Amino acid sequence: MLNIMLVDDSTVIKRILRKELEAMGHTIVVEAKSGKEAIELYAIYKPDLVTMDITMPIMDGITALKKIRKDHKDANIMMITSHGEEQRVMEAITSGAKGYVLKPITRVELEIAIKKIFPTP
Amino acid sequence: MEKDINHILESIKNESKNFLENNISLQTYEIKTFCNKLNHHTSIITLEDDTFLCRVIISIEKELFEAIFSEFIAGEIEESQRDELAIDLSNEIINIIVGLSTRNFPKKFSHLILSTPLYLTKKEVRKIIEKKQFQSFEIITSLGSFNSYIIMDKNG
Repeated sequence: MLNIMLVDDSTVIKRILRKELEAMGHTIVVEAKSGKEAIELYAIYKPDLVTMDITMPIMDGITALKKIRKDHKDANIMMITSHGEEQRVMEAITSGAKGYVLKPITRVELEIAIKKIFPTP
Repeated sequence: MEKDINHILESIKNESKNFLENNISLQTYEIKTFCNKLNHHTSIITLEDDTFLCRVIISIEKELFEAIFSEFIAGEIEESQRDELAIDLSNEIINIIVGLSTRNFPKKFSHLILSTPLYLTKKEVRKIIEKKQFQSFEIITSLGSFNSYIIMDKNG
């Protein structure tokens, strides 16, 4: 089971993610509400997985992804995004994101995306 | 321009209906092709590229919003958190519906960027709609109405 950091400016999305991920047996170790906060908290908690919103105030998810990946080459970051942001998702993938989940978030979609990053042996 | 706005309106209308029926398990009774009513919870999102700018407003009646709130927000909520969650949820609803709608927009709009949604007061919405041409629709459910306005600001 994974230690996960949630990065999203929306409390609603963080609540949905926490509920679904905890039901899957994972642990939410910390939450961040901006890309800037995520960079600082990643260095402290070193989570197995980060769920990262793309559109956030102060610093967006793609900038945070690039900065985290620069200092932590093995960081596993999965983008959470909306339909209509496909171009930005592609930018995230080429910048090192390991996958993405489109809203509305469902447990099935989360399981599929996490399995792609952490395939069971 | 009219053809484009009608296409966008239809896509948003269909995704709104799907959202209410499939995500909230509500029956939708009637879809009116015009409305001028503002409901309790209202958010706006902008769709834009170099030559095109369109604003979409979604406004949801209180009881209907409460049903959506119960569906999305599980678990205990501190009373002090409730307003913040309602604003967040209103913004997420418009983000999800308009985001999903873009899949069915005409190909020439494939580069549109969605803005961050904003929660608005009725006064702010009236100011935005005032003296502007807009298209609208109203979906009637057993728990109240779900309204949307589409305002075209720029077209190249």
